[in-house]
Amino acid sequence: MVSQKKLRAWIEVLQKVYAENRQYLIDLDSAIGDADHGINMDRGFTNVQADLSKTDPPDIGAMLKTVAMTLIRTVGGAAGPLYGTFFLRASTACAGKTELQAADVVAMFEAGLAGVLQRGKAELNDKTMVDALSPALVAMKRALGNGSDFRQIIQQGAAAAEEGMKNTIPMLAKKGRASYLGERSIGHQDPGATSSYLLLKTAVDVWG
Amino acid sequence: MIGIVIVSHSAKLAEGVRELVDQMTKGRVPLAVSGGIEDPQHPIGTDAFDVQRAIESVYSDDGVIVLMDLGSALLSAETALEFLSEKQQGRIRLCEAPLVEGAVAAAVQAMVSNDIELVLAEARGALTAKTAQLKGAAPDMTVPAASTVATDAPKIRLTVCNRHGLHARPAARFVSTAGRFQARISIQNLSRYTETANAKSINQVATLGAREGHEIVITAEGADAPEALKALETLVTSGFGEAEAAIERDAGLQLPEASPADEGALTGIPASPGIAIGPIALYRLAPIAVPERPIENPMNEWQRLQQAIEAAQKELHALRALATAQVGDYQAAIFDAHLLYLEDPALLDAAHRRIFDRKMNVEAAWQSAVEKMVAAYRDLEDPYQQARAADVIDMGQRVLKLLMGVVPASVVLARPSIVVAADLTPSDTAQLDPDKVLGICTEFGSATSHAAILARGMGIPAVMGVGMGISRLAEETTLALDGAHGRVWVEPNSDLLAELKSQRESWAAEQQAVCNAGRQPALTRDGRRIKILANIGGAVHVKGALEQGAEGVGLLRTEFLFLARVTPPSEDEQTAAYHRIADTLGPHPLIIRTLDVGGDKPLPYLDLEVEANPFLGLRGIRLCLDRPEILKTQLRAILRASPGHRIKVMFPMVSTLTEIRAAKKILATTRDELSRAGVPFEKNMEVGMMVEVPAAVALADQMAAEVDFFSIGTNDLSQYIMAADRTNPRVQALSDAFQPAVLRTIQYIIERAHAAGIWVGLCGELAGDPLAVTVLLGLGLDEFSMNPPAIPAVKRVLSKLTMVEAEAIATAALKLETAEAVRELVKSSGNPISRKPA
Ligand SMILES: Nc1ncnc2c1ncn2[C@@H]1O[C@H](COP(=O)(O)OP(=O)(O)OP(=O)(O)O)[C@@H](O)[C@H]1O
Ligand SMILES: [Mg+2]
Repeated sequence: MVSQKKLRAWIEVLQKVYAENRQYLIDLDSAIGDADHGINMDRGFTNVQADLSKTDPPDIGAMLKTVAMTLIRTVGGAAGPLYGTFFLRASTACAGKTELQAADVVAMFEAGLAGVLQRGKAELNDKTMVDALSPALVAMKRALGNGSDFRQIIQQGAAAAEEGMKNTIPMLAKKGRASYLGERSIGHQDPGATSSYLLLKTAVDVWG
Repeated sequence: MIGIVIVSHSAKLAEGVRELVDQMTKGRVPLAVSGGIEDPQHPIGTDAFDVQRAIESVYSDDGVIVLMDLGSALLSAETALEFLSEKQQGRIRLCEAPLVEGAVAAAVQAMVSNDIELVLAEARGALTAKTAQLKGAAPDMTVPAASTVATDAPKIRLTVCNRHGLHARPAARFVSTAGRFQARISIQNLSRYTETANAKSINQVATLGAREGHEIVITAEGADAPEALKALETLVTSGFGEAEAAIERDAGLQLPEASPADEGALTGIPASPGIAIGPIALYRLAPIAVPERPIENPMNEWQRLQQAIEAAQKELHALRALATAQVGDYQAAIFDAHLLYLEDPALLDAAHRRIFDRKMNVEAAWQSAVEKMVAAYRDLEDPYQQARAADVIDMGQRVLKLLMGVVPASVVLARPSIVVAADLTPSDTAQLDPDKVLGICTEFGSATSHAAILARGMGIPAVMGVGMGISRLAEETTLALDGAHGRVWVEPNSDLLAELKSQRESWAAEQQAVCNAGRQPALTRDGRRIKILANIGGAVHVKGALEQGAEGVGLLRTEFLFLARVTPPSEDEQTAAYHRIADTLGPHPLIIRTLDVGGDKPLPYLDLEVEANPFLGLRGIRLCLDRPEILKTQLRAILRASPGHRIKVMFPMVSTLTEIRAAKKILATTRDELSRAGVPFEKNMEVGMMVEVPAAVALADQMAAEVDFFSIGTNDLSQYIMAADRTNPRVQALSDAFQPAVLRTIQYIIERAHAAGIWVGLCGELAGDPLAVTVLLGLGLDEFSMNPPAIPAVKRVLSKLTMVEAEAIATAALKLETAEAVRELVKSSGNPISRKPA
C-alpha cells in the first residue's frame, strides 16, 4: 500500500536520482542522440520538486497532475511530452485517491504507459522507453494476478524494466533522435529506457 | 484569417522562419512562433505549453496550421492540442510539410484563402515542388477541389432561375457565400454534364456555364455543411437577390434591334442611347509583349506575383470607389468580380504550376494562366458568359502591367471627343472623363459587356462591336454615332450631319418633356408641399437629378474629388467643382457633405491604416479632425463657392459635442481668414450634421443646439443601431431600416430636432423607398433626399396621401414588432405603389 506521503517521497527521491545520473544519461544520449536526456530529466524533476514544495495537493491525482504539467513545461526534449503524458494519465487513474492499493499502483502504471504509447506511437523493439516500461507492466500485472505482495510486484516490475533496458542495446532505433542514426544506433543502451528503469527502481527503493 | 504557428527546438530558427514568411506577407498573415525553452544554459528544446500559447495567439475560427521541425516538436504540438478546446482542436492542423518551405507556402496561400484544406495542400505541395526542382519530376499540384468531397456527402439539386445564370456577379456571390463556410463544397452542372467544380473557385464556378433552367447539384462536406447548403440554396432560389434584379433590368434594357445599315453607315450593337458627333480619339491598348526569361528561383517569381496581385487589389478597391461615386454601387459591383478572380485558387494554382513546375518566369506564367481561363470562358455557349472573358482579360492585364511596371495607358482628351477602341475594359471605361467623352465606339464588345453597362450608367452614347477595323481610323476623323440604333458614320456629309443634329435636338427635347412632367413639385393629396432632393456623387449627375425632378441636392458626396488620385484635390479644384454643381442647380439648394472616408477606402495621400473594423474606425469627421488641413481646405473651397448659391455644409459621423464644436471652430477660423483676405462668401450658410451614430441620437437635443439642420443617414444608422453589418448577408435582415427600433430612433430624432426648432432631412436609401415614404411623412420629416431614379415613384406615392393618413400609419407602424409587419401595414393601408420596379 502506498500513501500520498510515500508517493511524494518517490517523486522527491527521483529528483535526486536523476541529478545523480545526469551525466550517465547524457553519456548514453550522446552516443545515439543529442546528449541532452540527462539535462532534460534533471531539469524537469528539479522543477517538479520546486513546484511541489509550493503546493499542497489534496490527493494523489492532483499531485501527479502537478508533476505532469511541470514536466511538460520544463523537460524540453521528447521526454517532456512523453513522461508528461505518462503522469497526466497516471493522475487521472489516481483521481481523488489519498492512498493506493497494489492494484491501484499497477493501474497507475498501466494508464501512464498507455499515455506514452498514445503520444509517441512507438512499438516494442523501437528502442525507446517503451521497451523498459512495457515489460515492467507485464511483470507487475502477472505478479498481481499471482497474488504476490506489493513489494514483490514492484520488485518484479523493476527487474523486468532493467532487462528491457539492457535489451535495447542491440536494437535498431525507430523513434526519436536515435532513429536518424539508423544502423549506428545498434550497440548502445537507450537513454529513455534507462530513465524509465530508474523510475521503477526508485519506486522499489522508496516503497519497498 | 488562417493563422500559422512555427514550432522549433531553436528560437533562432523559429525567428528566421518568421522573417522569411513576413517578408512575403508583410505581416498580414497572423504568425506566431514557439522556439526553444526557458533554460538559458540549454535553450534548445520544445515546450508544449508555449506551443499552446502560440496557437491561441493566432487562433481564429478560420483555423491554424502548425509547422514543426522534428522530434519533440511534434510531440509537444500534439500535447498542446490536448489542452485546447475541442472546437479549436477541430480547426487546427499539424502539418508535416518541411518547416521553411511549408511555412512560406502556407502563409502565401493564407493571404488569399480561408480554406484550411487548401492552405494545407499548398504547404504540402511545397515539398513536392522542391522535390521536382531537384529531381526534375513533375509533381501533381492540383487544387484539392470538389472531387475530394465524398460522394455520399449531403447534397442539394437546384434549378438556376435567374435569367443569366451563374455569370460573373451571381457566380461571385455564390463563391463568396461558399467561402464563408468551412465545409468542402462542390458544384456540378447536371444539364451540361460538367465535372464537379470547387464552389470556392470563381472561375471553376463561372465556367460551369450554368444558365437559366439548368439543373445544378451542390455537395458539401464538413461540420457546417448543412448551413452552407442552406445559404447557397437561398441564394440560388432567390435568383441571387436584388443586385441580380437590377442587372436583369439593366441587361433587359429595351434596346432596339440593329436596323439595316443606312447608306454609308456602319452597324454595331446599340449599347447606350444618344447621338454623338465629334472628332475621334483613339484608345489603343498596346499589346503587351510578355518577356520570356530563364528563372533562377521560382519562389522569387511567385513572390512577385503575390505583390502584383496585392497592388492590383488596391487599385481595384480604389476603382470600385470611383465607380461607386460616378455611377452608383450596382455598376461598381462589377469590380467585385475582378477582385474575386484575383483570389481564385484555380487561377493561382495554374500560375503556381507554371512557375514551379515548368519554370516559367512570372509574367509568362501569369499570362498563360490567364489565357487558359479566357479560353475557357470563350468556349461557353452562352454569349452573356462569353462576354466575361473581357473581365478576365482586364483583370489579367492589370496584374501584368503591375508586374512589368507598365503605366496603364489612358486617354487624356484635349477636347470633347468620341473614344474609339478595339475594345474597352470596364477599368478603361470607368476612368473616362464623362465631360470630355461625347461617345464610345468599339470594334468588339456587346451590349451586356460591363463597359456598356458603365457607359449607360454614365449617360454616354455608345455603339459596340462595329468591327471593320474602325480603330485604325486616323485621329481627329469626324465620327457620328447613334447609340439607340447602333449606327456609326465616318466623316458624315453635311446633309447627314444636319439631319443627325436635328435628331439629337429632338431627342433632347423629348427627354426634356419627360422630365418636365417629373419636375412638378411633390404635393400630398391634401396639398402639402414636400421637398424632394437628390443624393449625388459628382458633377456628372446633377443634370440627371434635375431631369428626374429633384428640387436640389440633399447630399453631395464629395469623395469623388478625393478618390483614385495620388494627391488631395487643391482648394481651387474643389472650389471649381462645387461652383459648377451649384451653377447647374441654379436656385436649388446644394448640401455638401465634407469628406467621408475611412480605412475601407484607400487614399494614398492620407496613408490610412488598414483597420479591422473600418466602420467603427477613424472615418468621417473623426478622420477630418485628425487631419484638419484636409477639412480646412475643403471648407475654404465650399465657402468660396457659396456666394450667389444656396450651399449648405454638413459633417458626417458626428458622435460627440466636442467633435461638432471642433468642426464648427475650424469653419469659424476659415471664415475669419477669408474675411481678412477680403474673399467673399455667404455669411449665412447653413451648417448641419448627419445623424447616423447612436451617440448623436442620444444627444439629439444638445446636438440640435449646435446646428441648423439634421440629416439622418439611415444606411449607417440602421447598421449601428442594430449592430449588424449591412454587407454581411447573414445579418442583412437585421440592418433593415424598417426595423421598429430604427423607425423609433428616427421618430426620436425628428421630435428632438423640431423641439429645438431645426429642420430634419433624411438621405439614406430609406428616403427613396416608396413604402417608407408614407411612414417618414407621417413622422414629420421635412426633406427627402434620394437617388434620382427613385424620385418619380416617391412623388407619385406622396400625391396619393394626405397628412392625416400618413400620420395614422406612422403611429400604427411605431407600435409594430417586426420590419415585415411594418411593410405589411403600409402595403395593406393602400399604399399606391408596390415595390416592383416601375
Ligand atoms: N516517439 C517516441 N516514443 C517513445 N519514446 C520516445 C519517442 N521518441 C523518443 N523517445 C524516447 O525519448 C528518449 C530521448 O529523450 P530526450 O529527452 O533526450 O529527447 P530528444 O530525443 O533529445 O528530444 P528532441 O526530439 O527534442 O531532440 C529516447 O531515448 C527514447 O527512449
Ligand atoms: Mg536527447
